[in-house]
Amino acid sequence: MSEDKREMFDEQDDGKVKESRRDFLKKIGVAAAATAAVPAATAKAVSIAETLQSHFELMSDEQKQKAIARLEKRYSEQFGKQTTVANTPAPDGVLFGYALNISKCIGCRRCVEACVRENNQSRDPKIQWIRVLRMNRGNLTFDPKHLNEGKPSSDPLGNYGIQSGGHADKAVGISGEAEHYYNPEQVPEENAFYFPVQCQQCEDPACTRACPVRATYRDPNGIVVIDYNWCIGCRMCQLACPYWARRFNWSEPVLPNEDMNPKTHYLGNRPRMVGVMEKCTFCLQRVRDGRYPACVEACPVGARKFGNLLDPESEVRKVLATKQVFRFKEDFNTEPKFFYYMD
Amino acid sequence: MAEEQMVSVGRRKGQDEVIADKRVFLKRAAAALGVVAAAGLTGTAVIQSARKVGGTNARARCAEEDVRQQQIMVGKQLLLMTEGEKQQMLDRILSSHSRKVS
Repeated sequence: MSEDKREMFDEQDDGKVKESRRDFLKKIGVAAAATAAVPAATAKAVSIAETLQSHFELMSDEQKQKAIARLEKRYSEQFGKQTTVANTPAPDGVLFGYALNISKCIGCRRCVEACVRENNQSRDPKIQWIRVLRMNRGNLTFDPKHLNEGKPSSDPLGNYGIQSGGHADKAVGISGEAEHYYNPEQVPEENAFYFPVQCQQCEDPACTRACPVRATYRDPNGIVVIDYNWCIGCRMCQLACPYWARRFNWSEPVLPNEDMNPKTHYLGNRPRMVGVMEKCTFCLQRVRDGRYPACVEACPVGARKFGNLLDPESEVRKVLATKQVFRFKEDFNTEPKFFYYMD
Repeated sequence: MAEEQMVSVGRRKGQDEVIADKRVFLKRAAAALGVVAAAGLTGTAVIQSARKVGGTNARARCAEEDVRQQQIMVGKQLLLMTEGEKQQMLDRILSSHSRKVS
């Protein structure tokens, strides 16, 4: 009898122990899961659906709408303002081209500021798609016949400088020492000219060839775009670009809520995340709606022209027809559609 | 009677073994959960410290990219196009754009 009782107690004890162990294990399990989930939660994690979504061009219309709805919800919550992510298609019969008058550019960098505001670029670290390089007059040649003359000479096209020939300190043909961090009291400075550089929207771009996942590609209007959700951040495109026109998000971009432009496009100015590449898109969200890029509107001296290369009456075609034009790093044969010109 | 005792002892032994097995199992489960939790905590700590370093590194990296961009001008000639070259260039771009890829 005493044995039976003991067995009963054993069972009861055992039962109690089991129950408390279960509770204990449950709690530990929950704690462990929560601990393991912390990194994802703190990383402002992109939703799983967003991570697993397909390449934008390969999505069905329904999938695109879902992806855009997800993004709009996320951005609206993140920035505390109603954000739209457009998917305006590329207009037919358009090939965008850009022309910049370097004899007019005064180096004020209003184009840079307008671009940063319009395209939701990171404020810290500073990411800027347009870089204005300050160059000393005399550091650049437009004419190969002067290269080996060995002494400075004037340029009949305008005093934009001739670095002709070489000497002990500067080898023949080495020219173009540029300064991005210039900060004078006023611009333009004497003996300086300014050379803005941004994505040249090449017709045969090296960057798209370098991308192993085709996250960057040329759209039907000739603009090279990036599917930020498809980009794997390998930076091969950045290495391939001869203009160093691509920017990489080395850390989570800092974009204050009040500075965020809520009118975005999926392939254009929607906020980017850490670990993806970005670059100028000719303000795709604007030009697909028939507007000028922000930099064109912001330029106080009208040095920037933009238009349809297929239209002989467009501004950019008129520039090509009537002005002295050159392209930057033409020898790379990437066929940039960004033209520099002089009056 | 002796047989009953033997059976009873045998049953208790069996129960003891089951309890011992359970203990081992629970110990292992607890250890596994501990490892998961520790890994999670370590991961968090690593990510947080990497972010701190990353914030500094990001600025340095961006500055490095600036310097590289400043150097893109080095050794480059900017050659004005002749009228013929301009027309050739435009033809190349337009034909490339209208080319159909099969």
